[in-house]
Amino acid sequence: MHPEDKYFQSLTQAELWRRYCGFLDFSVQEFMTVQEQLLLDQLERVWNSPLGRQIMGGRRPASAAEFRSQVPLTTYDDYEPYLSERREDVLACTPALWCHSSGRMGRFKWFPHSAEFMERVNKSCLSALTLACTREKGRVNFGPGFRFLLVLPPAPYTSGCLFDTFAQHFTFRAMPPQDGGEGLPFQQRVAAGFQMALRDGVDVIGAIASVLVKMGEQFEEQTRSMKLSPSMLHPAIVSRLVRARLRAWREGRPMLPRDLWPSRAIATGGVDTAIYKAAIERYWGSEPYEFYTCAEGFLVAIQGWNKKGLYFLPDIAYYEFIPEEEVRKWQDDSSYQPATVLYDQLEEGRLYEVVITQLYGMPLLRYRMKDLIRITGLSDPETGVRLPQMQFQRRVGETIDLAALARIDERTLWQALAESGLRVVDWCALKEYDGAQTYLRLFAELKDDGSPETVAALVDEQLKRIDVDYRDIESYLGLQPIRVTLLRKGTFARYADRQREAGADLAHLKPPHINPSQEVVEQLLAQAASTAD
Amino acid sequence: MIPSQLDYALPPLIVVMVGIALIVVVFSWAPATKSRSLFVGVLAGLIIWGLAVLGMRLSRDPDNALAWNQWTPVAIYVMFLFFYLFSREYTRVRGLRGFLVACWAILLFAIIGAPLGLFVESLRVESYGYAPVPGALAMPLGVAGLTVFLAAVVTLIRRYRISRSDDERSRLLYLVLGASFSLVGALLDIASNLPPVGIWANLVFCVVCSVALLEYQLLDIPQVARRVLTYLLVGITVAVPYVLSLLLLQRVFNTRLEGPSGYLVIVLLLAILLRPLYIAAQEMVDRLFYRNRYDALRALEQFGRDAQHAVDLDALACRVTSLVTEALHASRTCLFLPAENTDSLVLISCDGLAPLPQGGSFSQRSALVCWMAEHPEILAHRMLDVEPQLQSLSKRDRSLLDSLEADMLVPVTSPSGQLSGLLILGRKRSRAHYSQEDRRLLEALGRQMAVSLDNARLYRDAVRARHDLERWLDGMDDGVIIVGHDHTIHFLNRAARVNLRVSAGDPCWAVLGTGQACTRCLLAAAWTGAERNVRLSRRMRGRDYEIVAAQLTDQDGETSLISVLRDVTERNRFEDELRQSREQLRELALHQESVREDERAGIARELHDELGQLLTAIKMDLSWLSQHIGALPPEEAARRISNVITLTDTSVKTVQSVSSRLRPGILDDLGLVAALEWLARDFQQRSGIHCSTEVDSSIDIVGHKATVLFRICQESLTNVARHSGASEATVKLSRRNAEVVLAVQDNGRGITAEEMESPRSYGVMGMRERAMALGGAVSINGAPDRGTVVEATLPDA
Repeated sequence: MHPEDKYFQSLTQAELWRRYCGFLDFSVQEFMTVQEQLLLDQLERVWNSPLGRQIMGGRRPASAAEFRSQVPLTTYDDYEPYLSERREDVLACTPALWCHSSGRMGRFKWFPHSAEFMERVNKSCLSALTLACTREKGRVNFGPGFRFLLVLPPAPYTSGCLFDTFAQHFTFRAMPPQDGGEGLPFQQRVAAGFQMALRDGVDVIGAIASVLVKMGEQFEEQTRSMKLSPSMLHPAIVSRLVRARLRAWREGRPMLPRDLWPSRAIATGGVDTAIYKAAIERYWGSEPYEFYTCAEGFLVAIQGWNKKGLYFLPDIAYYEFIPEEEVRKWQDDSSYQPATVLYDQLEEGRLYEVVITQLYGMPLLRYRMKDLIRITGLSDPETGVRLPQMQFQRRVGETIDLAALARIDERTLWQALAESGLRVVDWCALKEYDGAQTYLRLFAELKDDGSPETVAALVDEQLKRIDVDYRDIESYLGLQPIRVTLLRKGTFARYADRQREAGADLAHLKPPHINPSQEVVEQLLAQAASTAD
Repeated sequence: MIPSQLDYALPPLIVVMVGIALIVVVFSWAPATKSRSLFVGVLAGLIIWGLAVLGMRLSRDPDNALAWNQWTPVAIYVMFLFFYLFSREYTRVRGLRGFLVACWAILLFAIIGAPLGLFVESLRVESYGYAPVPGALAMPLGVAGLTVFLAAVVTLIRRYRISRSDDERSRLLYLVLGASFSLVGALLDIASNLPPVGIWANLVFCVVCSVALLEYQLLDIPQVARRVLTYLLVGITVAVPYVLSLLLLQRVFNTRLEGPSGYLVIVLLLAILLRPLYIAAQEMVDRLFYRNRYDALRALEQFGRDAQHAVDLDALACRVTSLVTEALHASRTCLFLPAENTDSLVLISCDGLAPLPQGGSFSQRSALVCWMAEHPEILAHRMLDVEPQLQSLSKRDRSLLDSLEADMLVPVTSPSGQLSGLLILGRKRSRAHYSQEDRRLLEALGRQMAVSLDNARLYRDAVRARHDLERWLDGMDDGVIIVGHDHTIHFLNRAARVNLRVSAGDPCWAVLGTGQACTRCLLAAAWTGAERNVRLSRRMRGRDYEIVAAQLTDQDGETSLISVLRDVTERNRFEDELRQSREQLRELALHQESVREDERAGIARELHDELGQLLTAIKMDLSWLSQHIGALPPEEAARRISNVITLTDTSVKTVQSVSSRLRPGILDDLGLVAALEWLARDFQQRSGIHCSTEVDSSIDIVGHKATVLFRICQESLTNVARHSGASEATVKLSRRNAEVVLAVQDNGRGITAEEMESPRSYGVMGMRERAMALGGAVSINGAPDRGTVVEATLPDA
């Protein structure tokens, strides 16, 4: 029996809810009390480490206020000499594991994590699962042994580390099993997972939103001409297929994944979740459940049971927030020290960069995450939760600045593409100059045929609708600030294959959506040309 | 024979009515969960059963009665099936999927088979009414129903065994107890030929289970059982002697006791006569069945007694921990109380754990202390993993709780609601859980403890404050005396004890050193409060005191008098001396002015009488010469000029003499040593008193110090010449340690003390003033006929 299983055995449902989701009953003040208690404990621990003393400037802060005034904001550069070497002698405690970030920003960032922290993270995973599996407060709809379909990169990627440690803390059935399919390519592992799910059913599905939609689309197309293969001749699979067919027939529509797998929860990540929410619900039958993850804190914020705004978890890190204006000042002058606000000072509708101080003896202090979030509400009258809700907006600097009038980020472009009605395989965008004019260059691969002009017009129309600032560009400058290059079909797939052959990591198989490097663009165009050949 | 319609139909009617009432109750007061809905299915089964039995009993026609009765097995099965479903949902224990499918299949089969008479073939008429004749498949359906029911009971028991929640365990126990009623009823109906009891048993089952689901704290089953047994025993204890006595009396007095008045008399008589028996029975019951409660009450009583007398906080803390350990059979009990100098709760006492863990304390900022302060209720240790605020408990605090093997955390909360301590209990020695009764006892103890501990702490603080005050007062040089209204001394500080030689309890007039009460109290104005404070001076026991007295009034309105006595004897002496000194200085100044005037007059006289004459003579000679120089013979001119030269020499000597009297030039030219030697020689020439010198020639003092020593020597020698009558005098100059010492000694009559202290000894006063101005001193010693020694010391540096 795993450590968290015992709670499911011995606690009542109400107690389980309180253990995992009780923080949603906190007031902001209670949240802050917990934060402060944990911070003071952390300062006591980190003070005993050479790295901690160095960051704190040789004087131990006695209070949270002193800590904020005394310790400067830090970035990975402040820790890199020690963490990239994985030096444990400078840390306050021996880490239980080291894991690294996706390397999406060009380098892997290594982070140590203490055993105590991993316990909290695993508890937070169960909080997320509890909330993902219910629409009702106080109801715990899952327990040890639940079936979890997901495919993740292996350790030491953050998600792989998280999965491994979670598997050591709670009993669940992974589909496909993590130990069996490590050597298999990503696609095959996905296929293996679905084969298992077809036979045994599934309780929770975890994937990126766009992947879920893509799978749903593929499934819908394939089931129109679905034939039974020998591998499907299993009584359980046949029974499942028959029931799914009946369900689809009763509702007069083609068979969808939700007919096969009436799962309790769909756990998703990625900035596109909100955009694909309706599509996911249509294909998979459940509203997607979002969370905010990062390599530094694993699971930092999760949604409530009504699957709306994200709530910060109080015992994962000590949070501070840099208002967007301060971030801009820092962007203009890198020597500027931006001011921070605390959780109880957040304002609705404003953008903030997240700053965390790790807890439980880990080294990052006042660490800038470079993630911008938007506070969507200070409470939720629907659920009665009295805590601020947030939504991930973008990475700091990951915008395309058009004529200093509009800043287009990934989320906005995703939304424009999705709502334009275009069926896009994948895309990326960057800023381009034509003389004195700036344009947004969109590289897109469509599932259907189309002309660049049509696509540009459609996307332009949606961007004008979504982004007020973008709408002003044309009226001020008299130009359409978007240009489109359509890539031939299979370009992104070829690019991914090429990257895989070159030994690229999972995070580098696809080009970044916003501001890919010139090298990436050239490779993409080369693949487009080779596809044409 | 069928019994009367109403009697026969009443039980199922009651069942139906109670079933409906239970549904309303459950919907109103049980938490809205899926398990509640499933339990309503159980109640629905009960109602269907009741209706089927009611229909049967109201039917005169056996065929009609049979048609109703055929549905009773189905209704019972529905009840049992829904109870199984309820148990699965309630306990979240997953059963076998196949078993559930089979259960539903059996239900379907039962619904189909019931009208076919597969379960109830016919009805026979018994004395109590209709009795069903089992059909061919009655036994298999009965076994299936019992299996489902047992599966539900097993599910509940499994959950009971693993649950750590006291509340959940209590509810599960109720459910299992309720189920056992149903089981017993079913077995009696199946295995015996008794009138049907199953219907009542199932009613009890449903009532008990419904109670278990309600959102209220349930009484512990053992407590309920104890109560039932107690009342039963008391009933028997009372009833048996009563009935026996009654029978006996009836037998003895036969018919004479007939009628209500006779029985009333007997009842009253028995009530009086059997009263000791009832009391003894009640005590026995208390001891047997309320043992725990009895112990608890004893413990509370004991604690109350102890707390009344215990004022020492540490002793009380020890008593508290041992008492709680004893009363609750805990493996250990630890008490944390606020520390004096820090903001922490510190482990004060621990019973059952040795040695005490090092650094046993919780910071006031600790999540646990914050929680306890906000939620003053008993907390089970396992709730640390449940309550979200407590999950941020620091590792250190968790380790401490683990080292104490904490099981229950009891806040000690003062009546004002402040957390005044924390009591931590280890597991029970029997490894059993703490019952609701234990919790109630702990709550009661916690409240009582808070008051007692607060009192003890206040007492300690008061004692400490008094000690601090006493120490502070004892450190004063002034005497402080507090006199009570009865005119006895209630308090006095060290200075008052030592200086006035009185002690607490003495009458106030003992301070004056008189053996009698004062005829008129000088502090009457302070006593009456007419004046805020009274100041007076008084000489007591040979010392002068300044007394300030003020009235003190305590909370009860009792007045006393506090007096501060300052010994001003020394101050008065200093003031006298200062006054004398000022007078002396004033006279010295006058004297110096007079001396200066005398000297000026002397110098003027000398200048006029001597130098003036000489200069006039010189002028006359020179005038004469200027008129007669041409006619004078050279010899006469030479003589006249020689005469003028002589007169000029004399003038020069006169000037030198006056000048050296004002300040000897030798002092500046040759230094102190040579000047002293010259002074001695000059003194000897002038006075005829032999004067020798013993000077350390290495002493090289110049400037103002040299002048001061020279003048002191000059003044001393003048005094020798004027007053001593000496024939010899010695001037000594030496170095002692870091000082230069000048001593002038004579062999005269010796100076007297009166002369030394005389305010008119301006010479001596002047010498002292001069030396003191340079950080030195002058001492004068004289002995009759053995001369006088004047010793002046000046710092060498």
